[in-house]
Amino acid sequence: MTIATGTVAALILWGTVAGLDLVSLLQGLFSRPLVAGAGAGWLLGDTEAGLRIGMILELFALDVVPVGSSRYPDFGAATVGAVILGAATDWPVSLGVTTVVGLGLAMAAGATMPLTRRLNARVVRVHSAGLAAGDPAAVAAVHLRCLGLDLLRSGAVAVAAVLIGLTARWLGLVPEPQLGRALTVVALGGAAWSVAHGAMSSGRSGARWRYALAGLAAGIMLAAGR
Amino acid sequence: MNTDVLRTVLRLLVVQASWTYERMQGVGIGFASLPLLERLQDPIRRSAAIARATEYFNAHPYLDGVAVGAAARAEFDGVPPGTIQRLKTALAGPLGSLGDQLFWIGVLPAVAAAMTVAVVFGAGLPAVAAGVAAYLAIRLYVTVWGTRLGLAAGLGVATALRASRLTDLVRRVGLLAGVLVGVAVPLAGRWLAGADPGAPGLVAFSLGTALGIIAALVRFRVPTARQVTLVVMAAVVLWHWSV
Repeated sequence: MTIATGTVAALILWGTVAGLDLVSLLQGLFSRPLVAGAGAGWLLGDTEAGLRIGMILELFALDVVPVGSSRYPDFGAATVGAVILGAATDWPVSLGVTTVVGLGLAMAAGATMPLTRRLNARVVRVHSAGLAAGDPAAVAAVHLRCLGLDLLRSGAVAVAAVLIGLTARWLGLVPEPQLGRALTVVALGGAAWSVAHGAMSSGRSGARWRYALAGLAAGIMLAAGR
Repeated sequence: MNTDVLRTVLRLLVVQASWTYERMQGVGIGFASLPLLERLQDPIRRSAAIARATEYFNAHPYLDGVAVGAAARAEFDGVPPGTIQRLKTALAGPLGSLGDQLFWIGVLPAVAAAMTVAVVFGAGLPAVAAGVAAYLAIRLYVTVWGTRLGLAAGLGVATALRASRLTDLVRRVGLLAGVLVGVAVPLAGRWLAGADPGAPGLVAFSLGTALGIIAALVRFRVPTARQVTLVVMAAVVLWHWSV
């Protein structure tokens, strides 16, 4: 499968939107792996690969609560990079290695957030007199410059993720079937551990814990019947 | 909704862009408050109110409108600066906690799980698009609702929040999220691992689920599942190359 230049540009744009959505813009669902993966898969003409890769990374992401100053992975563009590697491949073989790429990129991209926050602080310091004086122009200048910094961060992360995805694809990083399937098995175990830990940690002291277990029982029956 | 409130709501959608460790959301709150505070006629009062609005503040971004509206209303009412600061300080913790409970571990996992179930049942891309649209609608509604509530209540915002039954909603959404995530996990496992019940992927998924539950219940401080997964994968690759 060859990927056209226009598609690469669209993937970078999609990854940038996902990166901005993480903290600065909306905080809707665009930075979620399932959404970012579905969009990337659609752009690449393999929606199912996008959904599968997005879903397994979503299970990992459900163990993350993006609270205030905590450090958390940035899954948006990372998922786009993983889908580039996994599109139009045999998914039982490639799901594991795309999970490695997605997790690695997400953790690396998440490390850029503290850097952006320190750059934000520098912008605030430059305009501290205007902020202390209650100058509306200074407030707007600081906020919009910081928004611009996150646009740059998100764009750079998206470019890096897309290039890594393309390079991995070009290098043929999808392994031979035996190793690929083994990595997929490990990825599935890790994803299940992650989502189960997230669901139980957020509800272990209340009725939610019992509801989650009841849902789990219902889900097992539904899955067995499929 | 008047233009000033609309402009504030739109700015609240980017409230965290200028997040710093020193002021946290402070500058973003100031930026969102500008359309409202520009109503103050006295330039000295206006500047002082804007400066106050940009000081340290942190809460859940979706509920920031409550604080922005309440502080703006207090400024219009000529409430002393110290009282406005105390109002914001008093609001930050509850708005952060309520928002985290309602959205980060309530609505968000519920919508993600619903999308997962829909995708497994073959709804594909439209299910994801519908999930995003529903979530954005909730996010926008809460931002508008919070800003209006704060503007209407001013210093009485804590009473207004209690009367809104948000706490009860937190509990209900939390339970819904618990059920939906519970339902989604085995379905996702089956879809991702393949149809064969004896497949190694399905066994690994079941084992992982059990380990995740146990780790959460015993509060065992282990590395994250992400780190463990990457380490085990590296070991698998090394083992594969060595044989």
